[in-house]
Amino acid sequence: MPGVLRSKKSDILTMNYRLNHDAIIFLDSDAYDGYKTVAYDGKNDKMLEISPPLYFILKALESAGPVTKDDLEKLIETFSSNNSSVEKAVNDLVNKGIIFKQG
Amino acid sequence: MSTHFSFTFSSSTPFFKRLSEQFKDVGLPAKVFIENSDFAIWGYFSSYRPDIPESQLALELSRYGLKRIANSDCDYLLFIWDKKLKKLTVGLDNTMNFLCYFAILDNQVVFSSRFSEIKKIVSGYKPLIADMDGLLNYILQAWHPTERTLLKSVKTVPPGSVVKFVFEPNIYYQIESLIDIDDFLSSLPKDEFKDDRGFAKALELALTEAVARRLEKIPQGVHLGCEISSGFDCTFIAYIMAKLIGPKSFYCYSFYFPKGYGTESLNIIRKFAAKHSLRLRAVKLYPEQGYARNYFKLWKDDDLLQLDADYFGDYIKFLKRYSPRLLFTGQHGDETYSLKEWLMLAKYARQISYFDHIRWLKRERQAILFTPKALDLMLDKERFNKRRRYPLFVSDMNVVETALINEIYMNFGTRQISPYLDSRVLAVGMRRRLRDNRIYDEKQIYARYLSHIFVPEMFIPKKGGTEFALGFPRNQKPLISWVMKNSVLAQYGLIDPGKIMQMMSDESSPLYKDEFIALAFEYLVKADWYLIKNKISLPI
Repeated sequence: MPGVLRSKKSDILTMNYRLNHDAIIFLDSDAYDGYKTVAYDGKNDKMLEISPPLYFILKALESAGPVTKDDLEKLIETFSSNNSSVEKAVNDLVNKGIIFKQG
Repeated sequence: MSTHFSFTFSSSTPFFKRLSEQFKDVGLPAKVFIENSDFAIWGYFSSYRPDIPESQLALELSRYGLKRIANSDCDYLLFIWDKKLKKLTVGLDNTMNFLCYFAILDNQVVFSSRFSEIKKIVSGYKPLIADMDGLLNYILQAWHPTERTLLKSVKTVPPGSVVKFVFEPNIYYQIESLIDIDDFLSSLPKDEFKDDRGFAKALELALTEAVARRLEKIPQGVHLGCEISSGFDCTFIAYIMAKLIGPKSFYCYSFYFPKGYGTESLNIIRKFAAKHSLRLRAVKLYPEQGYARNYFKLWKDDDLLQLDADYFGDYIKFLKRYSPRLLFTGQHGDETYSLKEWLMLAKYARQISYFDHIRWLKRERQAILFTPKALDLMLDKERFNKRRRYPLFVSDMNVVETALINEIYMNFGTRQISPYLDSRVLAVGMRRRLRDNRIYDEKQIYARYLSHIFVPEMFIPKKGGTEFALGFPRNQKPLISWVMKNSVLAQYGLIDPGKIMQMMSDESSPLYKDEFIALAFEYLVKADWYLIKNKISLPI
């Protein structure tokens, strides 16, 4: 997993993405639930069910810490066969504040 | 008359009938005792499903164990002793009609429906040590169904679960939830009501059936009551009761405030009662004067909620004076309107508990009351990860809160009945059409179709809140100062008394400005008082 996440190029000046730890909590029992959990969308005060492949992407983000846009795209590629729809879902999580985007 | 129970069980207990006699008649659910050569079954059991008759309980248990009744409309707390295998199974219903605490002491198990009782028994055997998850939940009033309590050595039977005790060679137990949310969801109709009128009518029908099924199980002559306010949920129940058994067959119990705090307005309550010829008993509560009482003198050593001193305790005393045996309530009515969202998330109750902590501590700024060490413990993901899962069909926080109220009411023999928890009412809630946009007090939309029940004044938006909670830091300085000087929480680094006393001396601090912080502070001081007075240490 770390090989997938860590970009070798400098990302000081690029956008990075990190998980909002207040919006999601991973539990050991998630596996029993088919790797599903729930995230809190604080902007709309709503709960959002998270299933694979998004679950795996967010879990990887949790272990990785901040990642660049390139790394995030690699993560999407790694865990999904339908990149465009997952990308859309990831953008949705950014808009909802479940993933933080920092410049 | 108290209806609490307490007893000690060991594998050599010879007389089960005698144990059963420890259980007082509570009106509903009914007392049960069945014994044959294989089993002894005692406790309480009432079923609101025709396919599970009370007379067939032994057969039901032999065929399905507790699985079917745990997922159905049955109120129960059952103790089942397998004479051959020497195993004791304790099962509690999915709406937590009872609190059943237990502690293993030497080679026996002590059971009690009253926390203070079991704490007293345990303290005779060993020093009292807090359970950190239970204590932190109590400090934050973050009620969540787990087997844990404030004390490490005292557990409670979680709702919809069984606790299986094995006695030989040594006592141990296992807990398992029997609730199957997916099965319940798949059993429900999938269609939605076409319009709001359809939902309102179906809700009235389902609630009427739920109230009727409970009323028909209650023996003649039991003193019945219905708790009402000026809101829609409990008045709905009172109306149905009046329709089914007549308005003179029960009393409505209510409290109201001198000025508009929340939904309790005597004028509206009186108009509603007059419309349906209901008999009303109401008591006025004075939150501001309540907070000005001498808590230092009035707080008891062994009361977690300190209701004797609290303004709300005046309502408890009022109820105690009349002691209705069964008090119908509109508790959980709100959930009928949010059930679809809730059931989809029911298996994620532990995650939601974590988000609640984040909200209270960070967004609502209660974090200012604690040290970084306390916050690390409160938000430690392992705390939530280690919790077992006890999913419920309705809000788990409300179920636990209702159970805690029942524990208080049982001191004078009153029990609450919540028809909104009937699965047929929940099924109607599931079929409610969700709107694209949230509407404030959506209940009003449906209540308009029930104008034969409600009075027009009930539709006026309610004003008021909890600002009276600011009275705690303002009026209770000697008590707060004493607790801070003797603080157990400070001894373990969870609060900083210096910082708190500094906030107390600064009139512009959030303690005096933000009622939610003031309320959270009150809970914190109550918890610390309880730890000090009961010599409870922390395991850190």
